[in-house]
Amino acid sequence: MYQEILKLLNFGTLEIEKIVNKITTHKYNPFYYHGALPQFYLWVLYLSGLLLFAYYIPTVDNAYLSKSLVNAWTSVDYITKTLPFGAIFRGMHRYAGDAMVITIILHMIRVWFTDRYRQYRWVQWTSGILLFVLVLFIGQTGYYLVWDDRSLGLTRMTVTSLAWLPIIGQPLKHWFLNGDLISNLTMSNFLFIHIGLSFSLLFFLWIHYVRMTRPVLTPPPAINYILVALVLLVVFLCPINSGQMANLNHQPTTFDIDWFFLFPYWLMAKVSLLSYWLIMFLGVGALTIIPWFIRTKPVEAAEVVTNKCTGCSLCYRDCPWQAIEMVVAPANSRFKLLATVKPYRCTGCGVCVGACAFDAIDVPNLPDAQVLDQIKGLVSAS
Amino acid sequence: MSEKKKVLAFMCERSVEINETDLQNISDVGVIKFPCSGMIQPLMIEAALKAGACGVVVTGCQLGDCFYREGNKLLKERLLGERPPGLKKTVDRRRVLGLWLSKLQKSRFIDDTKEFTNFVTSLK
Amino acid sequence: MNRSHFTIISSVVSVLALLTILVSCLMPFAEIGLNDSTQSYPGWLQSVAGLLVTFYKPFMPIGNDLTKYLKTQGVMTNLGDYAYIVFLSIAMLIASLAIGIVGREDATEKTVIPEKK
Repeated sequence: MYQEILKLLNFGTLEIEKIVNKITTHKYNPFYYHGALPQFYLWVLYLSGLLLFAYYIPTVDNAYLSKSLVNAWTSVDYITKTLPFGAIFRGMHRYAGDAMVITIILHMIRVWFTDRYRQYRWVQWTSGILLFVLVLFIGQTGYYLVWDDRSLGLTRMTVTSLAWLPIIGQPLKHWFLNGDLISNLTMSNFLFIHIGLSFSLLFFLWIHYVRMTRPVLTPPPAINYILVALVLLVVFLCPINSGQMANLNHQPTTFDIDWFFLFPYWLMAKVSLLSYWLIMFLGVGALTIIPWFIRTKPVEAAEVVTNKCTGCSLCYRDCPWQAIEMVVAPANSRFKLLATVKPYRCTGCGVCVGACAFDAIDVPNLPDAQVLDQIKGLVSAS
Repeated sequence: MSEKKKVLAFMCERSVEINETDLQNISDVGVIKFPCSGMIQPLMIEAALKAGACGVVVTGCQLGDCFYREGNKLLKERLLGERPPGLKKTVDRRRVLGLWLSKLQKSRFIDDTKEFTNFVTSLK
Repeated sequence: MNRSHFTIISSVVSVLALLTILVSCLMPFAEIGLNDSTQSYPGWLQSVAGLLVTFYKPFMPIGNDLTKYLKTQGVMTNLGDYAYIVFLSIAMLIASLAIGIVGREDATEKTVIPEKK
């Protein structure tokens, strides 16, 4: 049943891509760069964030004992209203974040529908879920940093939800606020979480990419221009205005929701904290275990024909899965190196067979000899 | 398997899907399926031509859409001699054709294969 | 590929390239507010300021529209920055279209291997 639905979805994706191909050709089809799109937006976010970081002051009340009030909100206000192009970079930082979430969801849906998420791809899928959760959390911390009404509301909601958790609740709350109350230390903690976790994304991206040879990291320039231009147009169409400066003596009751990042808070306001945490944990858990729902017969890994392998490393270079390792050949060999297959990484695709000029590697499903027999059978049948 | 096939099509099982009626439609063509077009060795193409085939059509998915990430791209580079191993010098380049089509482009495959078959059989 | 096809493509691309340059020229003009005031021009530009204003005159209604829209959205300062990115993004979109048209030439669904010389 599930398989049937998946097959339909796969055909749907192919149909859409076929139409897009008619317009853009395969070279500029954004669907063929689905993983590179969020990666590109990550660079946009790093750059725009760097510029905002230069002017941002992470305090709740007056910093530097200056005469006029200098805090997070006023520094953001300065960036938006006075700094040349400050408003633009702020807008880019926010909307590139939204765009990153959209492209991540697109990426996720495509790998799901085209069945490219399970078996030998489980590392990519699970690290991808982790990355997605991290991106959402980093985006939320970005909303605290502005320190307007909404930030205060979100901070208080987060504190309540964290403190509710048994055993780890109080320590988490203490970590989150960097103390027991909202203070200047809280803001610097938020800034640290926001920036520190952003860079930890790179580590998890490394795990995301580590089993892939030559991962597609950047779309072609023409697509990049469109990606940036779209963000810029949104920055113009929906310019960002801060709300009122947060007032610790006042509890904000309503605020606008950014649906890409702040939907958990919408949920939190609707249901009890118990259901909230249940939905969150079960949701993430369910997404994580999806790859193991389908049982398929395990991959039969490629096998090296040891006495034919010359150690030329062509298969090692071509394998798209980093599944072949060149090891030192045994002492009685005429050659220096020997290819070995890591069976837990092998997908059985046979790219190594195509790369081998000596028939020295075979996929058990379809050995070379069988292919040659088929060729002879078809050509010389009488 | 009764008659001799003039052209062999080496196909990725995830690109164009060919059924029995289509095969009768292009009766000169014999099909061998591979898990990925990246598995096709230049040696196999040479073997097919040596065994007496007039031509070889190699079919992979749309470039950029390989299920196994880059099989079709690597094969294309091998055919063009940009990546080892390549075709031997003695192989008649005219008798090899690469097609990069998605599962839904069957009619395109049949048209191109027919045209190619006519072209190859007219070569001496 | 035949010759007429090639001419059509190259003419389309050159039109798009010219458009990109034209829109890019509007960017600095947008930044100072898309109006005929020449005060914020640097000294070395003052001598040709009149000429520039005549060139930019047809685009001033756009400037008014942009300003009006931004005011309704609550933007009160640095309006020029927003106008600048509008033209920047339009220039980028046209440029990507041009690059795409040039680049799609070697996109292929069919590989015919060239004969060895």
